[in-house]
Amino acid sequence: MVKDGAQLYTMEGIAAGLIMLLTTYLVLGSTSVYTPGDTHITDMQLEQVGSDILRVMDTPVRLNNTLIDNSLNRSDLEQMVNTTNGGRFFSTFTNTYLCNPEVVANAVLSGCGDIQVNASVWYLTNSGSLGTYMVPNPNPGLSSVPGPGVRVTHWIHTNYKPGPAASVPGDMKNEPQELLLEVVMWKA
Amino acid sequence: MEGVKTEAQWIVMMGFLVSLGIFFLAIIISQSTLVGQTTAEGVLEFPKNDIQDLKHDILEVEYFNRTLCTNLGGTKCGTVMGNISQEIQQISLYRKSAIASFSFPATCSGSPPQRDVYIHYNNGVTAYDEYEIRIYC
Repeated sequence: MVKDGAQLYTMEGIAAGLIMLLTTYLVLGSTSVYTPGDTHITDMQLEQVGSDILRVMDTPVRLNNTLIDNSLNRSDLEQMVNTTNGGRFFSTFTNTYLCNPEVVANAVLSGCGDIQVNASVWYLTNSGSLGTYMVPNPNPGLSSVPGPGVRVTHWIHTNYKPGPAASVPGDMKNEPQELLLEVVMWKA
Repeated sequence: MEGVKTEAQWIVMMGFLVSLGIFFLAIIISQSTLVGQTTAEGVLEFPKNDIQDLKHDILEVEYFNRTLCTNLGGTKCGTVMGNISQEIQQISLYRKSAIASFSFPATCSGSPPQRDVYIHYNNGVTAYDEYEIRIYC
């Protein structure tokens, strides 16, 4: 004699199993995996932060219209580029702004120690061709293979008086001019 | 069907509701990643920082033109302004793959004295022109 009392339990069990399988399928299918190739979000943050830092550094500490050509009117960035003071540039860029927890969002800060920075200045030479020099980096980046990186640039207007410091290339024009500062930031 | 207990129906229903809840949460999470991705791509693609930076520099040039440049003397000032114009064009082209130029009248006129700055920028994806940045000088 076969008993059929448990048939409902069997059906319920099958239904429950189907629901669980369906749920698992939907949950797994609707999450997306953040692969290393999808670096757009961190790239965007890094680029924006770097661009903002350069803009802040190019703001003069004080402005005095009667002293237009006074060195006090020059921004930090302009002074550093005029004197190729790489040490001060990189310490300001990295320590004062990029890795300062009061300035940078935690999302960017979390990998701050890994971020390497390099900078070069582009200018037009006396003869009208394109010239460049690296901003001397006292703590050059790790020699490992660079990870994904971004390039941020900033135009610098410099009045360049009383003339280029001895440390800048000799073919730079000794007059007010526009320079392009290129900063490459990458994760080591 | 006699003798079948039905108290467990609540458990089945709650299990179903919870699974639905997890499903919708997962949809929201996956959407947020997608939105962040496309937003970031949009931000990277549009040269907002380049344009703002160029504009900032050109306005500095305009200020330089009517202050320090005039102190340099007419001929020297003309040379320097020509060079600055060339620098912006050449360096933009070589380093940013962008065509950039600017112009403004040599002198201010009108009352109050003023002049309009014109900026042109085109990096192949985004073309940007600003015709009337009115500077009172």
